Amino acid sequence: MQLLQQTATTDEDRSKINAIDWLVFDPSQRAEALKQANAIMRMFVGTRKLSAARDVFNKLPAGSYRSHHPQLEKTGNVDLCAEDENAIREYLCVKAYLDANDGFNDWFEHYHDMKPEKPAMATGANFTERVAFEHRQKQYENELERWRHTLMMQTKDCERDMTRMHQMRLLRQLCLPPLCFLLHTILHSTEQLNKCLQLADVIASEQYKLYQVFQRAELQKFLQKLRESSIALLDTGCDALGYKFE
Amino acid sequence: LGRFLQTSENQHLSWLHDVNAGDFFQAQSTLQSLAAEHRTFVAKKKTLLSLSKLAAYAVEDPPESVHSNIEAINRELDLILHQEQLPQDVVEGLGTDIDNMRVLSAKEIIDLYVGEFNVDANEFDFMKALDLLQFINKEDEDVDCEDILTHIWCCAILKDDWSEISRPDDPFENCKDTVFFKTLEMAYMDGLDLTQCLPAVDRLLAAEELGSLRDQVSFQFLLRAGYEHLEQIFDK
Repeated sequence: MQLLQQTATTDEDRSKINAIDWLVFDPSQRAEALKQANAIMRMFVGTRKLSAARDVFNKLPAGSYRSHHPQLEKTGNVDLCAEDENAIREYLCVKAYLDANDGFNDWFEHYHDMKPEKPAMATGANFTERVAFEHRQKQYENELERWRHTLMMQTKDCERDMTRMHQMRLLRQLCLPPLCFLLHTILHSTEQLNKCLQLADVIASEQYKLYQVFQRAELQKFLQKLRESSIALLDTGCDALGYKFE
Repeated sequence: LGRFLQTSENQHLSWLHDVNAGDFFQAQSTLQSLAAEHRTFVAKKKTLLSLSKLAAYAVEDPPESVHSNIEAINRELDLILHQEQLPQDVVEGLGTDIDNMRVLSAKEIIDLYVGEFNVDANEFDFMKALDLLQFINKEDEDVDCEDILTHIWCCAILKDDWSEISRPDDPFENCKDTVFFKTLEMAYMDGLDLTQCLPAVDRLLAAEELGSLRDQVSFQFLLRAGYEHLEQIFDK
């Protein structure tokens, strides 16, 4: 059971992916390659073809967004035109998004493979594994947080390209709520129940305005999920938000 | 069951029931009133408000009251944000951390921003204090807004050693770097109404908090000159 279903890559997709090869050939065209690759990845993420998006991503040489701006390499700070800067940000966001999904799949696999061994957990042998597991999970959370943050930032400042803006808004609506549900699943199944409830703080915050990308039905479903966490908390002898009774 | 849960002892559970029954309107209002009563942990109050806000957006065909509730919730969350942003030294000075902090009133937060715990207070802290004034309940007879305002500016004045500044070489140049004038400049740049958020110069000079500084002729001179300069700007 994977919460983010994927769609298979078709031959037509394949030829789109391969088209990028022509653009990465000449280093001076990197900026254009990045923009075209972004546009294709945007479409793939939108149609849930994550592995196809990953293929496009792998076509771009690592760090290619830096190579056509030698100054960026040196100082880390250079005035790019808004268009280039947005393209780079989008590229980094797609990377964070793909990594977050891979992270979840790894986590998911790991979590379920771990489960049968749970009784053995008490013995010392599995301790390192558990630490590694917690570490990975932490990384996932961080990545997700970072991704969210950067995605929030990049929707600003791009009024010139209305199609892109529209696509970005749809992507936010498509990707962010499921990620929140995934994060809830992780926190709930690892019994970090009070953190589940604190997800409400993140989603309701005016800084990120995540609640705006939720459809009403999704919010209702999310509140149901939080209710489940609350009830689990009550079973541990805390109040509904995980605090000691006053 | 619904009525049993609405009694005051069981209210903290009733929203769970409402969410399950799909009555987000009721859940929203219960969560909001739970948040209003809660004093012990600011983090818990925040989560109650957040849940209430999400419930508000989950209501089908929300009536007008829900929108005004969301506005009220955002105001409360704003106040909590000010508390969360208190400098870490100040919070540690109280012997607590943000996870275990109780709910503070707007006046308490102001006092922490401008008070002695905040050793490194700069113009940003004083601007936050001024911003917090909007959360002070003006109808409350125990609280005098004017007094708080005077207190904030007195604390800003006391951040600098004025006998150093009023050295004869270039007093006005030295003045620019005081926390008091930097705050003033920032407030002006931010478009705050200085006639509202700056007490009259005589009221400031009458404040006992300033201690012996009040009697220093050079300090009085600099302060009055600063005020005159401001008035000239406003006349233009």
